[in-house]
Formats: sequence, C-alpha cells, structure tokens
Amino acid sequence: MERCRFITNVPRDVLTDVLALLPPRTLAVSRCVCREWRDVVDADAHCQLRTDLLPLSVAGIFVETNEAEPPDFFVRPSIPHGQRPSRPFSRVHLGLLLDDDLVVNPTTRQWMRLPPYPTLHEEKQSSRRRCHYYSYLVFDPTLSPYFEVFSMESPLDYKDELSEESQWPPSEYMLRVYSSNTERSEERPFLREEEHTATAASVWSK
Amino acid sequence: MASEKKVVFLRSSDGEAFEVSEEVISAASVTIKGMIDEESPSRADTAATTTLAIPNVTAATLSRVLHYVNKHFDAAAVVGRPDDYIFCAPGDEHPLARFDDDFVDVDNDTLIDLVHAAEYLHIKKLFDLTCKAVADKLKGRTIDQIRETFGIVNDYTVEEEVEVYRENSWAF
Repeated sequence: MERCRFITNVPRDVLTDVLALLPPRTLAVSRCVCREWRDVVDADAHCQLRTDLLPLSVAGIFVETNEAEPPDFFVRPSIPHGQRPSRPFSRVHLGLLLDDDLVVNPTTRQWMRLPPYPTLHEEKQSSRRRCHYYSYLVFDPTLSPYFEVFSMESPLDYKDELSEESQWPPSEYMLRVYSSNTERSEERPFLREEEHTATAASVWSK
Repeated sequence: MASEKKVVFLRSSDGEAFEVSEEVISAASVTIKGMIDEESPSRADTAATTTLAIPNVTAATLSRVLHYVNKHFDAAAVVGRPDDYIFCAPGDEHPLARFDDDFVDVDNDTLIDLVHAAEYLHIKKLFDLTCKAVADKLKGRTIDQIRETFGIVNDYTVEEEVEVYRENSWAF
C-alpha cells in the first residue's frame, strides 16, 4: 500500500480545512479512517461533528392524550404513508425512540434491545412481587453520542415499606441507569433538591 | 523606470524556471510577494531579473499553479470583470467555474500536490478550490474507499476501531 502520503505531508490545519467542508455523514465516516482524522474531527470546532452526530430534523411527533389509548402520530403530509411507524412508540427523544426495551433510531433503521434489568437487591426482590418500572430515555446528541435509560420504580412497589406520611420521592432515590457507552446498567443515587412536595399517600391516591 | 512590466522567475524544486509577471504573482501569492518585497532594495536600480527558489514545489505542480494564477489574477485578462465576480447576474455561472472544474479534475496525487503548493505559496483562492475538490472526493465514500483513495493506513487498535465504528455506525 502507498504510504500515508496525505496524512504525513499535510499539516494538520490543512486537514482540518478539508474535513470542515464535509457534511456530517461523511465526517462521521472520516472519523473512522484513522486516529489523526478522528482527532481532527473531535478537536476542531469547525468540524462540529458532535452537534450533528445524529440528524436533528424531526419527521413527526407523538402526542399522548390519553394513556389508555395509543398516542397519535403527527407528521407532515409529505412523508409517504409506508414510512410511518406501523405502531406508535411510547417515548420519543431527539432522534431516538424508546419502546419498551427497544431503542430505535428511525433515521438509520438501527435498533438495539436493552439488557434485562438486573435484580437490584436480592433480599428486596424476594420480599416484593413484581416491580413496575417506568423507563425514560435520556439523549442529547449535542452533548454525547451515547444515550442513557433511566428506570424508575413505581411508588406503588414501596407500599410495604412506606407509611402514608412518607415523603415521595425519597430524599435519596436510587435509579437504575443503563448507559450505551458502558453497555451496562448501574445504580445511581439521586438527591432531591426541593423540599418534599408530596407524600406517598398522595401519590398512591392518583 | 523603463520597464513597465516586470517579470520574475520561479525555480521549482527540480530546477526548472518559470517566468511570471511580478504584478500577477504578487497579487496571487502572499508568500512570493513577501519574497519579492525582501529582494526589492537590492535590485531597485538593476535591470537584472529576479529568480526565486520555490523549494517545495515541483515543476509539474508549479506550471499548473501558474496556469491558474494567470487565469485568475492577470489584470489584463480580467479587465471589466471584478476579481470576485460579485456583479454577476443571479443565476449566472461564475465565469471561471468551468475552468476551475477542469483544473481540479485531476488524479489524487496531483490534487494533493496542488493543495500543498497553494498552502505553501499562500494562494487562498487556489487553496479553497483544491480543499473543496478533496472534500468532494471524500463525499459518499466508505471508510475503506477513503483509505484506499488517499493511501491512509488504518492505525486503530482493534478495541479503538470497535469503539469508533460504534460511535459512527449511524453514518454507514
């Protein structure tokens, strides 16, 4: 193979000038070519791949009006019918969709299944029946190419442990967080900043 | 002063000398203008022509560069046509667009040599043109095609490659 002529001979700022002219998709491909190209793309503000890492145009939005019914999907008429999702997704966030345990990128048609939830504490688990989780996708391509999924247990699952006067959410609350970067789930403590706003009883009654 | 039209000679890295109007090359190349300005005091009263060594550019590339420079920066050739053609009617093609397209329609090595030369000689218009041509050659290519086109060696470790492919897999 020919020597790495372009790389070895071209000063870095020239490479930057060239790469800065590329559209996001080519830039992302270029990032995979070799270390120096990746470093140039990552280091230079002109390239700005980070902010363009995923297409930010919105094809349509889901609106959940009634939990008992599937959400409505609003879309510009220009999108052909066949391209609309055949079944609505439950939560949408900036180009990625979370549907039960699937994270989907409709633009690239890639998807991945989240790993099953690991058991939190064995003893807790045995004392309780089935936990009900509410999952939330956290993803901002301008900050990181990775997404996280936060899983919250329902306060109903704490009925055995909480009294009616207990504060909800607790002042320290463990959330299960799956990170696509580490490809693992971990427990992450969250501290409530506000004075408590509700009691367990008021949440249960909703 | 007797001579209205001064010329300078540029000697390429492989020893070939090219004649070019001093006015034209000064307008085009910041680097050569600097060289000429440095020379000026010593040659003010002499009729001898100046020869400037351009050690980083081969004859083949230098002749292409001068072809471009004469087309774009020769005041006689652009009479009645402002340099940036801002007075073109909307929709009019840039008068030299065809020339520019043909100029960068060359093999990769030649193109990269032109990028180098434009950078070294500090000819901004030519640098922008050639950088854009390189960028156009990258568009729509796969990773392997880019490596092959520009002779780039993949220096990622297996782990790094997995990582970077994962981060950017949406694009391919």
